[in-house]
Amino acid sequence: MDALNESPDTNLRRWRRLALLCGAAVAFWSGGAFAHHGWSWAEEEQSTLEGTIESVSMAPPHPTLRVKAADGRVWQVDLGNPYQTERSGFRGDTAKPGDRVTVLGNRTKEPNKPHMKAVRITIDGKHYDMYPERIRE
Amino acid sequence: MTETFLLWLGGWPGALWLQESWRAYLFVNAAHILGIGLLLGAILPLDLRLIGFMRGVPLGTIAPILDRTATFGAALAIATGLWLFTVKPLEYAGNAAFLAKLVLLALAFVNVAFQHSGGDYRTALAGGPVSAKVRTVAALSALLWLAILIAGRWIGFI
Repeated sequence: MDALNESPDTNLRRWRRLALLCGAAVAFWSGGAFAHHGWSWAEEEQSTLEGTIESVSMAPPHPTLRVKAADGRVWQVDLGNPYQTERSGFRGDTAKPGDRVTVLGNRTKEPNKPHMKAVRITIDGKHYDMYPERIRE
Repeated sequence: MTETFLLWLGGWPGALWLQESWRAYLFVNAAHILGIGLLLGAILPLDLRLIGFMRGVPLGTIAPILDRTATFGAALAIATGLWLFTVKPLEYAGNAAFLAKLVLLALAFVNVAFQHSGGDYRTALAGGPVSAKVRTVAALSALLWLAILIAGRWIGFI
């Protein structure tokens, strides 16, 4: 019953409260350190990883390599997006499990997580540049 | 056995097509987002109206439209979602955010069934009082669909 007699003011205040709540929720969620896209989740410093390819996945949304490194761990190496990867010259049949690979890229800031984002991978002496503008040699 | 099934899923022609063509993937992905957009874009105003906002808008008029839009969006999102799942079935099956999304989806659909059970929802649509049950279930619905949205987005960040 009370609802029928609500003034427009009360309604407006309710909407404001709701909007505020939504804003706070968004701020909360986006404040986290997670980010798969972009580079903020990875170290500033570029580093090199050498190892043996265990598997190649070209499936969208993110082509990835699994690379067994000298540290004994299997690293997840994110390549560029499918178009950038294609443009680099790297294809699904460019490499096969067992091939040696050198990855230049940025490692995740998360400690002890074998995960990095490649700017360039080198197989058999040939470079595949995912992010040519980011390569710092 | 589950693994065999997942591997088989990843090998159907629709999955192979999306694995090989990121352009095709992009369109299916866009259709999935369209489904989500229609679903949430319809269910949130409907839930808010049921909760007690926008009381000047007659429920009997907007509810059937929003209901149908949300149903269509859900159907589109589920069909394209299943298809996208088959692109990397093993990976998604081991993704905690994806599994959380499935559980939340199941809860959301139980919630929908609960809302439509009994006569309260129909009474509200006919212009009668909106019961506490209808309001509570509507609030839960809004929370669940938003949680599903976030869980879905989280899949890519694990």
